[in-house]
Amino acid sequence: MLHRSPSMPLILLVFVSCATLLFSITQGSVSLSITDVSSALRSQGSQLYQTLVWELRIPRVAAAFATGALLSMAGALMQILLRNPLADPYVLGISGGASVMVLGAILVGASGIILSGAAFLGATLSSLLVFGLSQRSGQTTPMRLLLTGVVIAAGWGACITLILAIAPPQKIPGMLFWLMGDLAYAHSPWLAWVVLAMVSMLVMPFAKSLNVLARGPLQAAALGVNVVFLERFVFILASLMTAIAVTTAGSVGFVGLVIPHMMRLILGNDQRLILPASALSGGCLVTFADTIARTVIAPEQLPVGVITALIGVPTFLFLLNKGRM
Amino acid sequence: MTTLSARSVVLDLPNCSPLPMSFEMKSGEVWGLLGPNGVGKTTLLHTLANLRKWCSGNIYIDQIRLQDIHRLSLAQKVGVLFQEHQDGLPATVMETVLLGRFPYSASNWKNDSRRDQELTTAALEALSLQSLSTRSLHQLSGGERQRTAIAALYAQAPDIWLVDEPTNHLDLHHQVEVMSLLSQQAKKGGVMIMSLHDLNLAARWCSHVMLMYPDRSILAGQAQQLLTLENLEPLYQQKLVQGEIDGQTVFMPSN
Repeated sequence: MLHRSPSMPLILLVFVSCATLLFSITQGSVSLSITDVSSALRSQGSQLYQTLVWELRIPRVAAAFATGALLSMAGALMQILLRNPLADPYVLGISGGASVMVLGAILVGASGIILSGAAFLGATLSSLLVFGLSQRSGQTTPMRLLLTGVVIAAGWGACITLILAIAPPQKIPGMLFWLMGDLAYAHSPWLAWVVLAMVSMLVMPFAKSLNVLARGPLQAAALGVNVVFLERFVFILASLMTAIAVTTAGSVGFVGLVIPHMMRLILGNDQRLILPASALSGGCLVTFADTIARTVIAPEQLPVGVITALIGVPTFLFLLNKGRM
Repeated sequence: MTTLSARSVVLDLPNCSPLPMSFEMKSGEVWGLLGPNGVGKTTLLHTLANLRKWCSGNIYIDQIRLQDIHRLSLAQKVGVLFQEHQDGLPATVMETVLLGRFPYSASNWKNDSRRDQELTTAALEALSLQSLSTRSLHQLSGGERQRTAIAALYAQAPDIWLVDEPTNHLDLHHQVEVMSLLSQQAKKGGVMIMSLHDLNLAARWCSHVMLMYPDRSILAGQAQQLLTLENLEPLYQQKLVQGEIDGQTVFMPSN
């Protein structure tokens, strides 16, 4: 599929993304019409609507989109790094580390921005731990990295269970919401957008090398790819994206696994196309899921992770059934 | 004219300290590496492509030290066919073959040039893979995958071909097709180096052989002079008989 013009599907996805974003801004506890939104965007019309659109809906929708985009791109990169189509952004224990720190912070009574800080700290610590432990004589094989990550993730899982077991009952719902992924605490989407833009600019020049790396490290080295550098680079970028996504919205499941697969099924295996397409459609999925999460039983909200899992599980089983994995 | 030469190279092998080897291989020559399992044939091929460190000695391509060649220009000069193909992530035959052109168009946004596409088409034709070009690697048989890997190497169009057991998984017809394709590439000015287990293929297609003994120095030179029972029996620790069929020397294990 390397011949086909890459622009058409991407242009289409940009349109779908805009439509999804606009639709999500109109939905919520107060339904707005497209005209209300467009006048509010131009700082006209009712003051209430302007506040609603600018201070509540746009930050939330932007955070949802960025989270989905980060997770999908991180998933696509992890699958190449580990040469394993079942890898997702959390497979190396990054979300586990973040969860333990956040739950610990909730346990001692922290809230707000401190939780985001704790999530980022946990994610960073966990990825450093996995990378450090998987090194042997300066080399990391994907299998070693994967096994180390899976074991560390299992360790974090035990810590999470422990914290849930000893936590006072009134703190449990907050913890569970965070564990399922929840955008209600997404304070500011801008960090996620900055990281998304930065990482995209850094990784896209290497998309063709990633196509070669997908054929295995030795083959890639024989074709002139600097494998050691590229693998570290991809690990760092994927970890950073996952850390930021987890910091923004907790561990939203399935997006990072399902979206890259769907894109590969539809668009082929060229990373020059798959990476941006994954980012756009992952953004759409989480934005859409979050809109359902905050409207279906409004004014109460569901964790967005529940919705992505409800969409993700059947899709994933469908793909498995088609035998393309 | 390309020359690959090694001076007192000691390979980095896990459980023995092999003797230093020196040899020179030139354009137009077809070299067969022969030796028992585990003697270091694959290690030697990987070392010559700078995919593996070696203990001591120097390797030169056209008098330039191997380590001093930039990895992309090295990938334009030297191509490797691996014994095992990794295929964790899906790809089609066409995509895989086109990746052979990566060293020439590594920069991301350059579209695949006319030459890239022509060579890819030629490679698919040469290995009779046209009808499979949109198939996924997962759906191929072992032999078809092997031909895909050879087609990618053909598209890479290197000067020095390091080919690890090219006839693996291939049926008799495709064995002959692949061996004649590879020796044609040598005639066109390539240096062809292949590890082989079949003495009869070596006797028929190789102009030169390198016999790699586990316990003594390598023997390298003209195939006709080296392919004798005195040299081959100690190589494989196996009694052999030699004969001639249709003007071709053949070897068989004897009882």
